[in-house]
Amino acid sequence: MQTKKMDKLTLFLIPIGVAVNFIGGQIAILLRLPLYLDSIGTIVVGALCGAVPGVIVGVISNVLNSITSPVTLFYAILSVIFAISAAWCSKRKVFLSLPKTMLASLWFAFVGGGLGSVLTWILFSFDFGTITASMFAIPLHEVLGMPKFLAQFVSEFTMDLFDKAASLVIVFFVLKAMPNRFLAKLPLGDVYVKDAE
Amino acid sequence: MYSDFVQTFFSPQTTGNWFKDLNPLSKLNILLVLAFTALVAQSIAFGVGLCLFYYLLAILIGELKYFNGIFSKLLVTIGVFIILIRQLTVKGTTVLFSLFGWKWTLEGLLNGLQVGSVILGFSGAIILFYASTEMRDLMYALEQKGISHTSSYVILASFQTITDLRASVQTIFESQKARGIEVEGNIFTRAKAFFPVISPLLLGAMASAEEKSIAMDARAFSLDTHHTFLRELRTVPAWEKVLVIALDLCFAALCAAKLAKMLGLW
Amino acid sequence: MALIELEHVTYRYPFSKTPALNDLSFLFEKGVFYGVVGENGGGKTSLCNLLRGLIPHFYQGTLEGRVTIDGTDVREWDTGKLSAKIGYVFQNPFTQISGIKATVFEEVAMGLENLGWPKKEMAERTLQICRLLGIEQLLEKNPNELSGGQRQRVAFASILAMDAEILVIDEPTSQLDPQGTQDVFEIIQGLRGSGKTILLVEHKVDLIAEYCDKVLVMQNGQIVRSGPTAKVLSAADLAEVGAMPPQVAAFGHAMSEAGKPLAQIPITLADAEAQVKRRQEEVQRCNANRA
Repeated sequence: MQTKKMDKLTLFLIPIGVAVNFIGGQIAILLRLPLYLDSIGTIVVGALCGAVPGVIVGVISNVLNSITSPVTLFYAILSVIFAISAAWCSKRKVFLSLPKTMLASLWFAFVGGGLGSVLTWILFSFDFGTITASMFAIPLHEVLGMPKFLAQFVSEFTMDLFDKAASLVIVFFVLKAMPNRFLAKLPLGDVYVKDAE
Repeated sequence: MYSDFVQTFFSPQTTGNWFKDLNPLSKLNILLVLAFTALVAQSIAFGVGLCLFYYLLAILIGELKYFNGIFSKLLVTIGVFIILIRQLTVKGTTVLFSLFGWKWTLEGLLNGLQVGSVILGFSGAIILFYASTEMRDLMYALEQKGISHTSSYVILASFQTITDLRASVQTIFESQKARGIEVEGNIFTRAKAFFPVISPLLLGAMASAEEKSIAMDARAFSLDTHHTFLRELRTVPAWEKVLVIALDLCFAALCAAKLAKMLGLW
Repeated sequence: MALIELEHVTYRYPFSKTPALNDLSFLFEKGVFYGVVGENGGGKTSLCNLLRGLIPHFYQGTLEGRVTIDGTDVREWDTGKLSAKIGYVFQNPFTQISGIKATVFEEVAMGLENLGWPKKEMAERTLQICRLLGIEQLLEKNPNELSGGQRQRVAFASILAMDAEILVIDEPTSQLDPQGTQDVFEIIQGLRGSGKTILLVEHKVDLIAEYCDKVLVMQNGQIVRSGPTAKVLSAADLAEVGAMPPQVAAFGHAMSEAGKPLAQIPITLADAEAQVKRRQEEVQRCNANRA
């Protein structure tokens, strides 16, 4: 019965995770930051509640994004990997140390940018597709003579590295600031419980 | 004895439009078939034809304004953009015309048109689904199919939570600015301001999640019993089932044909 | 008949050194309207959480002692079934709205959907409650766009529609404006004599004095006073246990100190008015006799 109850708080955190994914971008625009910051909710919920709730947050976010941008549906697989990775990192206490968190952002960027570029590549018939990445990929290809796919991969990965590093630093501080009384009720909250309180 | 408003709950929710009144899952099925047909067919004529069909359907269901609002943006950011970019990346030999020294080739144009029409042919179907279906109706249909009402709650609540949190972002942003948090200046200063905005927002939202879970619990949310519905959809007529199955069969046939062709080429 | 029994109940929230509830023993009887007063942090909300079954299921922490609701230990209760038995209304009008219903009518009916009521009964019950609570004009409104006071009334309607045997109401007006407070007071007034067992936590002691059969005073996680409303609220040393006496009771005590005690310490305005009027008549009679 106790686990059932704990799951319930997690359940009510899912809509909040989804909303945080959406407002991350909104705050980025308010602060004129050239970042998406659209996975913070997925990562936080994955880190605090586990992979499955995180995956649900990610998939719902992609579905809601598809209302205005249907192609986003295909990228839901990235959110799934983010959530699983976040839960995995959380269990191994990665988010307790800032250097480790920064290191993890390499993996998240590899998924978001690297795997993302593969999806884009397939979706757009094995050539450049999205506007922002093309701005970097085309010069890399045309001027430096880099093969097309590599150019796309490198530019998406680099852009995503800034985005995921920033997202994970935010996640790190958010988890650090989380009061014990919340943590006590969350499946992976124990990791972040502070002694002094 | 009931007001008109209350009376509406005693019959299935209908709009009087034949397409909108299809079961949400039928609509989802039909439009997904169209969306994936666009991907599988990989044909300019078919993709463009689909897009025109979507416009026609949008007019028939009275959602032209909504549909065009979203679709026209994609037409520019994906359609036009792809055509332009393929002129840069696809090295063709058949020059069609020259724009201030920029030579447009037939190969580039065809490639751009194909990718653009495929992506738009996919996207239009999804946009049309949302244009013709209320999310709560989709959830009702899914609950009828056996998903739990908690899943349905989570998805429906996400919409309201986005609206609510968006409003609080503005409030918190303004108040943090008033308290002297630097929101202007160089990129690092601005990036640092992210945390004081998102942190109170997230903590506040989590506290409200706790209260919400208690409040919904008090509404017998977690009671394991047969659930009834105040708002109901009509039962699916036979012709609708036939239509959906026919379309699915067509799609399967198309996929089989494509596959045979691919194998034949090898 | 004791509906809820507390025996030596001690409860600590996780990570907390001091107990939120400290060796509590009390019998709640069926059909009685209880008021709970006392200082902030005295354990009032924790008591609500305990009776709602949220302690220890939801809040975790450690619970000692015996808590039985209708003869069954709270730890044994299925939380879903308990929620159908105990209605709960609390402070924040915003979090009590589901956020998934488009009209007040559907919002109020949601609990009944979860209980599996047939549609006709559901609609009738919902309309009946909305009429009773005077929110008929809100039926077609979007609950997410209402004011705090309106939302709180919708929250009350949603809970009352479910017709739970026990109602726990935790400071329902603390976040409302005067009009919203007034509207909620009227709802609470209507609950008197409904036969339900009610626990009302409320800072506005005049409201407690007006409506409650019995009063509990809580301090430091303990029930320091309990008994019939008039007896508890008229005690001269009420402030010493951290509870505000009703204004008219303070007036009564002042009269006593002035050597002109009233027949009894009033706790409601009507009570005080009647006594003052009687006193005036007595004085007039005296004056007339003297003349």
